[in-house]
Amino acid sequence: MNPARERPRPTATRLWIWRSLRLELPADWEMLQFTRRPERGRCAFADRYGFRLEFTWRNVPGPPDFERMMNDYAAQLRARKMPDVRRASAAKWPGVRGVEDGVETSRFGYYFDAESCIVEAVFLWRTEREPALERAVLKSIAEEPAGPDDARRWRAFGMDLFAPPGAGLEETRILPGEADLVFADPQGRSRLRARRIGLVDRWLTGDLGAWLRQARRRGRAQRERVWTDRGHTVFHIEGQGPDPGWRRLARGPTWWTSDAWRCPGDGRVYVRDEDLQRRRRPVESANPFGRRMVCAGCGALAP
Amino acid sequence: MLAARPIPNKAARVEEEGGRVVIYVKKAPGRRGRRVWRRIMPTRDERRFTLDPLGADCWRLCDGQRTVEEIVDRFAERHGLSFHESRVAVTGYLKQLIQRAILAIALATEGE
Repeated sequence: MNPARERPRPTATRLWIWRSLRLELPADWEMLQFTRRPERGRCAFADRYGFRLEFTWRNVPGPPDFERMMNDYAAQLRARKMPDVRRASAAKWPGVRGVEDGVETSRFGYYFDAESCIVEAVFLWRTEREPALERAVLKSIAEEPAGPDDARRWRAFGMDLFAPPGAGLEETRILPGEADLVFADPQGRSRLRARRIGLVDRWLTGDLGAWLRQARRRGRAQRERVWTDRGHTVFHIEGQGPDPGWRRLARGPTWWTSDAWRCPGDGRVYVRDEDLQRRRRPVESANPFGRRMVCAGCGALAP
Repeated sequence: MLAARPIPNKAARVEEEGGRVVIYVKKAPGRRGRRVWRRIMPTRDERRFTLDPLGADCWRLCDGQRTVEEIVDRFAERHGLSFHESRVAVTGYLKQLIQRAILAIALATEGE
């Protein structure tokens, strides 16, 4: 595509929170690649014409010597026959700029103390470099503090949610019209599955409550509720078990809850399934919907 | 790729059957042996493809004028998808339609 024919970028921005790191990007940049590992990983964002930003993180024991790191890095790039490598800095982030494979790139690094990790942001300027955008994006990158009960906040693929304390992102399934994220703690005592499902008229023929009941019904002690929260009708279903006898003896029963609602804003169905293995029934929060997961695109809701 | 224009095969016959789009495409004449065999055992000289509702929608958007980017945008708008979700779905459908000779792709010329 000829860059001159490209559409102008929207002025709105969108917040992403991944691995307790937040960043605000132009609204038309979407995450196309990601890593689940918290120790070392990468996310890549693209607009409709190509990749625009690579965002990588690496856990390190302490703050690095950025001056030396950047000099080494620039030397490496020069050795790779990247001409015209220059030092740069934006919004307190040291970096280097240069042209790689015909594309101007600018790379910046920063150390985040609370997360003990180095974050590297690489901008790919297919068209002219935009220093103001570069600065705005770098300024927005920050650590996201833990939420209630030390729960970690994630905001991606249209969902804004708190993962159970100690739980990592274990499984992901991203398809056109379907995003599915599963968080689980290493001991297997808590598991959260968050889904955002589109093309609703193609698969939902009846009532959402009936669909949730059919999809989730298992074990015993069923309880159902329906309530409306800021224009969203939420179907809630909860129950207990079934568990194998030995597991129940060792850890207690599995208490499960599911919430589903259709967002009037984007028309998609959001489903939140949580399994907790506890001896006692978990204390129900006053408003689990508002506190634990919301539709990210719906401006009326805030976690 | 976004600037390319999918062009429907004019030789393809399109029918609507119960809300589904069915496309018939003429088979290639084939080798001589096969032609002789077909005289002995007559078979249909066209292939039949049934599109699901989303595939049919994608097919209807391919009018020979719209670019892939415009089709992706329209598809996203109609089905409440993001650009990249729509791109994955549309390019998947286009690939299948091209493989089945239902569509051809006119690539953009330099400067387009």
